[in-house]
Amino acid sequence: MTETVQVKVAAEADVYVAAHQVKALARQMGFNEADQTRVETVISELARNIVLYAGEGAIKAQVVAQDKRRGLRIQAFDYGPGIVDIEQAMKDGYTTSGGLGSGLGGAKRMMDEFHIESAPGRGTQVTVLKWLRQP
Amino acid sequence: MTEKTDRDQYKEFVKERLKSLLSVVQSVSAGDFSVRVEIPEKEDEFTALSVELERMIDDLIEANRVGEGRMARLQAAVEEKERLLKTVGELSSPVIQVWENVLVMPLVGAIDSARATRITEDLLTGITKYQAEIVIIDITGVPVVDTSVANHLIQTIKAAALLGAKCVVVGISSEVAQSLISLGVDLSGMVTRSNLQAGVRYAMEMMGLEVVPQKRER
Repeated sequence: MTETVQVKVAAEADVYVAAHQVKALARQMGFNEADQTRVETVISELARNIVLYAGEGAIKAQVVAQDKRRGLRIQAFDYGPGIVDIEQAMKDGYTTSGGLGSGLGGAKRMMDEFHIESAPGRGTQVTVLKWLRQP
Repeated sequence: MTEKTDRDQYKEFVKERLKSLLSVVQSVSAGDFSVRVEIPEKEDEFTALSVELERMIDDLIEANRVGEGRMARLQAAVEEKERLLKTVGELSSPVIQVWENVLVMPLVGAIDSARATRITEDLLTGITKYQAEIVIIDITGVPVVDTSVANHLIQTIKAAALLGAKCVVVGISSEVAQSLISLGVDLSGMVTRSNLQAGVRYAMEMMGLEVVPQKRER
């Protein structure tokens, strides 16, 4: 079983490639349909942000293990202009591109762990993690 | 006539061989692989160098050949990809009239910006053509609805409203519904129904129509 997926994101088409591949990894791991859709949606949002704001970046997904549980860690990173005000960017509906918002708030709500690092001129790195629910 | 000393003769010999080797190296640098290194019958100090140079040129020629083969295959793959993308782009978003003034538009697959524009155009054309008052947009076949897709939908519905057509979105799966709530997308203005049948029923109601069983003469 593959344990890592890495996709370079530089165009809109890559958003779908990344979402599809990471969803496949989530399915392989045993995530249920609802969680698979959440993963796919979060990848879609993060990858789209890369294309919209940085032009180029990458999505990396990895299976991680901690004690007895397994999870999927997703990193979205770019060397773009960075986010000036992270708190504002996390607000639903706030957008600098005429859309419905960056989906960062949504990504945080749909995942179990969320971490973002960004500064003007230093690019952006978003790391999210979803644990596999134990039956 | 001065007799050349052994040293002078040796210098001449070295100069000649170096000149001929240099000429080969220069040709190869310029991309001309047709030159060959002269390897004299009698072994001398330059033989080893000449043989190795000849071998290196052969390797370069082979590497070039392999490289060109790869380039050709890569080019073919790029052209194929472009053809596929064009085909996908041309997949029309059909607009189907199911009743007078009622249209159904089934959406299948991912909705990127380019498709979204075409979908809106096709829908507006359809609304005008069929004088539609109700449009049922079926997104059962759309796998992921993120903020971008939701935004495209909202814009399409707004445009349809400008032409006097009301839209009802059907086919939102429970997973997509949960994602949309998590994303915090405000869809309160959007009319939705669970599936196409419910959508048709809504359309009939809006048009003031009723479906009744036929009266049968016994």
